[in-house]
Amino acid sequence: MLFKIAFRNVKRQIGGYLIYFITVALTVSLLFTLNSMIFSSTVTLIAESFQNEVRIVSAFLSVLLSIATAAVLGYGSRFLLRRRKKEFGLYLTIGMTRSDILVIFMTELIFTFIFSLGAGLALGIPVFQLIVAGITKFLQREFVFGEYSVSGLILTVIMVVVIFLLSSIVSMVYLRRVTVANLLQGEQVAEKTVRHPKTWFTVMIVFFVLLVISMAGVAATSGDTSIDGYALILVGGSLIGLLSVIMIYVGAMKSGVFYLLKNRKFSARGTRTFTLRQLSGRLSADSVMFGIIAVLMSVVIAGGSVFLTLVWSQLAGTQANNPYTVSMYMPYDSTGELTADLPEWVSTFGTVESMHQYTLYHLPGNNLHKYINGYYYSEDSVMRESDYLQLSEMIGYNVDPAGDGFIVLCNGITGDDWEKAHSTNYEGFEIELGDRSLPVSYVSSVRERLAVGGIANSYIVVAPDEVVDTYAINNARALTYCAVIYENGIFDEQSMLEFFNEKNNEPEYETSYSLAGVHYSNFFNIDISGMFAEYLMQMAAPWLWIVCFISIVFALLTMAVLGLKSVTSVTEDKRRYKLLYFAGATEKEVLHSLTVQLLLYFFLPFVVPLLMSVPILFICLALSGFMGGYMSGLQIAGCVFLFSAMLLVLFGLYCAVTCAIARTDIRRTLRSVS
Amino acid sequence: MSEILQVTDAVKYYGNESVAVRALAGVSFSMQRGEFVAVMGPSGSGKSTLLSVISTIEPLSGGRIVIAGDAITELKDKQLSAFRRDRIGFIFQEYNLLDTLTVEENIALPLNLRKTDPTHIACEVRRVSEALGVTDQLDKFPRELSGGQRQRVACARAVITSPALILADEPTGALDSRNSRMLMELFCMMNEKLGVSILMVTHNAAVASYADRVIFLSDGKIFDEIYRGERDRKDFRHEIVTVTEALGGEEG
Ligand SMILES: Nc1ncnc2c1ncn2[C@@H]1O[C@H](COP(=O)(O)OP(=O)(O)OP(=O)(O)O)[C@@H](O)[C@H]1O
Ligand SMILES: [Mg+2]
Repeated sequence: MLFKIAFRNVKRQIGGYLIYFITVALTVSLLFTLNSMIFSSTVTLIAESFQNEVRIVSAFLSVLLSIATAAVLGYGSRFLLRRRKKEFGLYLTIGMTRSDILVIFMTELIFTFIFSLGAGLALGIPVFQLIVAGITKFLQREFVFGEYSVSGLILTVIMVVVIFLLSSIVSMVYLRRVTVANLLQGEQVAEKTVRHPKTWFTVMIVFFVLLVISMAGVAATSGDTSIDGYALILVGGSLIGLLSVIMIYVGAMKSGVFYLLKNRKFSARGTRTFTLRQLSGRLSADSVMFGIIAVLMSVVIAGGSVFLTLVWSQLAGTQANNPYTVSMYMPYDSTGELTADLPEWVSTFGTVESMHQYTLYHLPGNNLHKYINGYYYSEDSVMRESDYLQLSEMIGYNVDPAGDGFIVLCNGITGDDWEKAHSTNYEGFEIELGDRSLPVSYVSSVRERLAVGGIANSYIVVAPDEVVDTYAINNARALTYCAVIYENGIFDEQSMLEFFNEKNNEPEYETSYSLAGVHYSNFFNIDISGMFAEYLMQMAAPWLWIVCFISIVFALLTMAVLGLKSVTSVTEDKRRYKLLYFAGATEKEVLHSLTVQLLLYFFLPFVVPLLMSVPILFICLALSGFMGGYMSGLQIAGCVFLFSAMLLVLFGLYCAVTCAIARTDIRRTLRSVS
Repeated sequence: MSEILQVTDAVKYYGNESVAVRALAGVSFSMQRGEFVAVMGPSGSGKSTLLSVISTIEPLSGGRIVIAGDAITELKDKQLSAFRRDRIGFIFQEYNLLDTLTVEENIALPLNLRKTDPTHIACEVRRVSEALGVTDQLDKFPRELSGGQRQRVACARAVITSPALILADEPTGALDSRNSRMLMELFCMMNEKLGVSILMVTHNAAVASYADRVIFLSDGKIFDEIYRGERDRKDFRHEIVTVTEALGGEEG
């Protein structure tokens, strides 16, 4: 009997349960992805060296997500219960016991959970593939098919059961405590009217100014560690900013509606007075909650995009610093005998896409550095024009030749020094190369570091080949370089390292030399670009994982609370909508008022976070500049947009569902008499 | 006198194909402009349903209703809402007022919905609140008023659009006898001074005796109909009680 009631109720109460259902289903799909990460062998494939970190972090997130979801659903089921106070109160008066009601409610929840579990798993299957694809793309790996694991599935089911039990406890406590009178009352008491609107308005203005100041402070300071009290401004500014957001909400919600209502021209039109009064009560009651949500969402957008910018900048920087799969340098081999076999050796470790050997010569006096910077921290060196053209072409640049002068190449030089090289006026400046004197022809726009190691870390003079040839004869200080690009970046890293290690120990290559004041003991020095990226990803991947997941979960659960709260209060407000209808509003007007309320209610906590994405964008731009400026403005905007967009998608989903439920609810109310 | 309301053979079924409840089984009557009519009858006899179909909230299953020359049974959905807004005023037993709105906002609501000019709204609110004696309460919220005051405000809101017809479903249901009396005097005043036509459902013979005519419903049909004529209220009330008893013993 009770089961029958419960089953029919789920069908009838589909509205309230729909939000529940969506939340549980989305949570299940996330849990399934996380748990698959823990057990699947796919992680071994895509993240071999940091698979343990990813597994541990996934497990941690999985547990965190379960607890957070259980808490929110527990809290949410209070609204679900409140929505049906009258019905339950009625059950009590017709002689059912509290336990009976509990059984009904629990049965309803179990039905919902079973459906959600099914839907969530169905959703989790593609979501997992999508995330694996995203990770492989981010790590620039080959696409792999995510492998599902039975253990992951079982763990997911267990966790959902735990979530169900945890959230049920909360509802049980509520049902045990609530009194019959309380249940039967049903009707919502009208909220108190707003007091001291002027004070609240002032509060809002003051904190808005404070927010702007603190954000400006943070934006101006971010990335510039040379400013006094850098850390203090950064941390203090952020804290003041977050506090301000809360206070702005409280101030705005306690005064804004009041001023709108006072403006008769605006409010005395159609259903506006009604809409504003409805909002006034709810907003001022929920203003602190809105403030906190706004702060959380701002943190999600700020934290997510700052973190992504940092990682991406670092990665882009690493890639720009190591544009070739392998970069080698070794002592100057003037006869070319010692390095003649290099192409053959290199090709045994993988399919070589392109490869180039070249030489860099030391240029005493460091006049180029001095001219650009006023001082020198590194030494000038010279490169042949043909080498420069070839190396640039290997990484996809089509650069101009030097003509009658020389090219300034900023080899691995970023930030201010890059800007300086580009803004310097080179008129009248010439560089002496042997018996020739060359003016500057242009400053290269190649950001990548073409030559890695040895004397290469500096401004490089790129001169016509014949000039370098004559200069080279008299200059002994030089290094031989070799840049290799393997197809798809794939080659046998381990064998290569071992091979050249052995070579370095052969008497033929046993060497010890000094260049530019640095002592080298290996003949072959090898930089493998993948190793840097790998190292970086190893550090960042777990954190990136955490940041993204926590952001999504924050947003998801916030929406669930807003949705459940709204659906409940609409039910409790039914009578008011009905009265509005009797006062002569058309059904369309009533539903319009309802929709406006819901949209505002949902959207308001996101206004400030979305607006905040503008200063956040500037902070990220500043950070990226500080990190070498390897990211374009578009890429940074993309990072910020990614997190804002994620919020908007979830916002849209929950808002649409809530509106649909509430509208159906009220439409039904209007069409029934009494 | 012209006819303000004409109900011909009104039939109303509730429910679906399997279980249908016949709430009105062919009701016919008409009301003159400026008339004050009360409807009485046992519980479940179809009184509220009659008001619902007249007020266009419930569609009629059969028959025809004409209000102030408009055959509402032939109006489209959109016209119906406009009709409800412009031609009809409602007063119920309880919950007449929106608790979130001030008294002033409650009274002004129908005009807001008509998108009347705000300065004109202010004038009208002053006019009706003076007529109904609620000027001092304008800035209060409904919960700060007594039951009687609330019904006055509800009346003010019902008359502000100068409707052709006011429909009242047990307006005194939640009031004590003194407040009921005061409300009925107010109805009479609105009826006489403002020329409003009123159709009111009540269970109370004393309340009904303020009307010009009482219609008795039973099982969805008109059972009887009595006019007050030139009699005083006491006599009229007596007759109402007699008919009520004949109908099946409801107290007067
Ligand atoms: N929305 C509805 N759906 C189905 N049946 C209804 C509905 N509203 C009323 N009824 C039925 O129609 C009949 C007439 O109801 P109505 O509310 O008009 O009675 P009433 O005369 O107003 O009674 P009371 O004096 O108790 O208010 C009743 O049998 C009732 O059960
Ligand atoms: Mg009734």
